[in-house]
Amino acid sequence: MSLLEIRDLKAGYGALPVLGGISIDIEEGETAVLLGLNGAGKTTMVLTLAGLLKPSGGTITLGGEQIAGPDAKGKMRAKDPRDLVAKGVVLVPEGRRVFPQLTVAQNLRLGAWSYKKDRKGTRQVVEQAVEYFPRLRERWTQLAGTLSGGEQQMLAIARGMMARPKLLLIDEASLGLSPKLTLTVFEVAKRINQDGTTVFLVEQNAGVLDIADRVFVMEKGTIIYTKSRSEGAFDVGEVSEAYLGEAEKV
Amino acid sequence: MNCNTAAFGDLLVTGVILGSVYALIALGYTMVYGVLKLINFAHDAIFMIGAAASFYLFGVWFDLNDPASGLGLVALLVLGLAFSGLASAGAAVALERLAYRPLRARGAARLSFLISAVGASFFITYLFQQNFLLGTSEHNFGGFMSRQPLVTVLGADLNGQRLLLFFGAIAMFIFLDRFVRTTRTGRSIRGVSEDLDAARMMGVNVDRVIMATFFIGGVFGGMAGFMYALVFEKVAWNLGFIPGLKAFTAAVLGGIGNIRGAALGGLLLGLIENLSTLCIGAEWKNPIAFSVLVLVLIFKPTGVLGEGLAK
Ligand SMILES: Nc1ncnc2c1ncn2[C@@H]1O[C@H](COP(=O)(O)OP(=O)(O)OP(=O)(O)O)[C@@H](O)[C@H]1O
Ligand SMILES: [Mg+2]
Repeated sequence: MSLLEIRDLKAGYGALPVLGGISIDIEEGETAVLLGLNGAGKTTMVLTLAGLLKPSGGTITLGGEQIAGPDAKGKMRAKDPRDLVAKGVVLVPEGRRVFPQLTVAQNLRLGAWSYKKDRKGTRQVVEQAVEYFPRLRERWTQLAGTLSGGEQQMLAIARGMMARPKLLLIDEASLGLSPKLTLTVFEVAKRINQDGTTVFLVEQNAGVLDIADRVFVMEKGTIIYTKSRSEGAFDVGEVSEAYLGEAEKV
Repeated sequence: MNCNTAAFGDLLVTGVILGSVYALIALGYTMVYGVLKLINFAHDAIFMIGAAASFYLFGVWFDLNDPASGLGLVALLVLGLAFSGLASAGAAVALERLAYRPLRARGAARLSFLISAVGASFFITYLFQQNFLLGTSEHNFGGFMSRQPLVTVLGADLNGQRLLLFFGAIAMFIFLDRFVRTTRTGRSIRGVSEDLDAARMMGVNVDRVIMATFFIGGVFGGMAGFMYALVFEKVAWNLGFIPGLKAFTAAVLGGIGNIRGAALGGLLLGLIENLSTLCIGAEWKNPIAFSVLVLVLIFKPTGVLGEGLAK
């Protein structure tokens, strides 16, 4: 059984369909990567997985439990983000979305919201997050809105880790980061994965293939390419062609 | 210009007292705006419910008419504050449940919320105008508290009612300011007001946070209604209308969504409208107050302290 099983998932905004029937599996303990061009529907996909957007069809199963799908009467049901966070699905959203008027420390504490009673556990997770991103310690009491873009991205990931995810969804962490910082973020994502969290990265930067165990390419709301590392090393050229192919035609 | 400087002390004191009322009501507008980006136009009715509740408690059920003193009076005031605060908070939470949450669940457009707010305001206000509630007449209120002046400030006499309102408002604002800065609930309120969806992603129970803001705004509005009725010795179905609009103005003046802004905006507006009557007729009070609203909206729409609960 895969950690996450997505079957024929459809979602969109109002009358506008975006995801046209996605079926993929993500295995426990792996780093999966979703590549795709602007507007392909990647953000729509992770928003749906995190419960922020209700799918219009299909099912999502987490560890054998259906978290979205039709009920007995055929009406679509989806768990809300609060339940999903409690079940370990946490999204680090596109554009960081840190709380600008709260300090770094307060942002992290809000991330640990669902562990109100477990102060000791929270302290440990904070320690670990700061170990991933030592820079955050130096900025501890600084307002998040005054951090640099890269620091905000670190904070967003660290804040996501506060909820102790089983499955961490990261939407375009590399956006606007220098190549060096992008590398750092990818490395930390890999470390988070090695420390026991399944990671699902949405990216446009093919550099992410270095840390991927499985890659999906999305185009216009459908998956057009899938490959697992177990089938052999990723060929950046081949993957890029899959997802840039359309752009080159234009 | 012919300025009546002799009245300065009186007007200053009145300005501060009325400003305290505006500030307390403005807090309700500001907190709800902070989390929902919605002007809860029914909040004037929530304020009125606080006054009405204390009228029922003291004027109808207890039927108190003789001034109490000492501990007895303190007990009555505490009871009145608690009762009016809870009555308004209950009404505010019910309002949120019935008028706003269904719209939110459906992802309705902003205009729908506004229409719902205005409708709810009229509904509650005119409900209380019915004869089985307050009716159309004014009721005298507050016979249980002596009106003797206790102190004189700048030539203005201050009785217990006015002192209660002023110091009560200060205490409430200090308490709330600490609350949102230091408690978990307070932090979640600030988080939701900064970025509702990001807060949802953190697993914050957004519905509960929204309910908490309506509750807090209701408590402030209800207690303000009680103290306002004490100061003005009257309760009537439409007593929320003008203070409600002024408080909305105060909230915008201070920076809507900003708790300290509500306090500052209330005081400023109270002072502006009262001190301006030093040199021009008192009939200009309301036009001046609402000109302030228009001027702020034109020249500094984010208010004196800027928007944002988190500040
Ligand atoms: N809130 C929304 N309302 C309506 N349409 C939307 C909304 N959000 C996204 N869309 C549309 O859905 C499509 C997919 O958008 P999505 O954000 O999922 O793409 P993406 O793959 O994440 O792109 P990018 O790499 O630019 O972030 C786009 O055509 C977009 O215009
Ligand atoms: Mg996107």
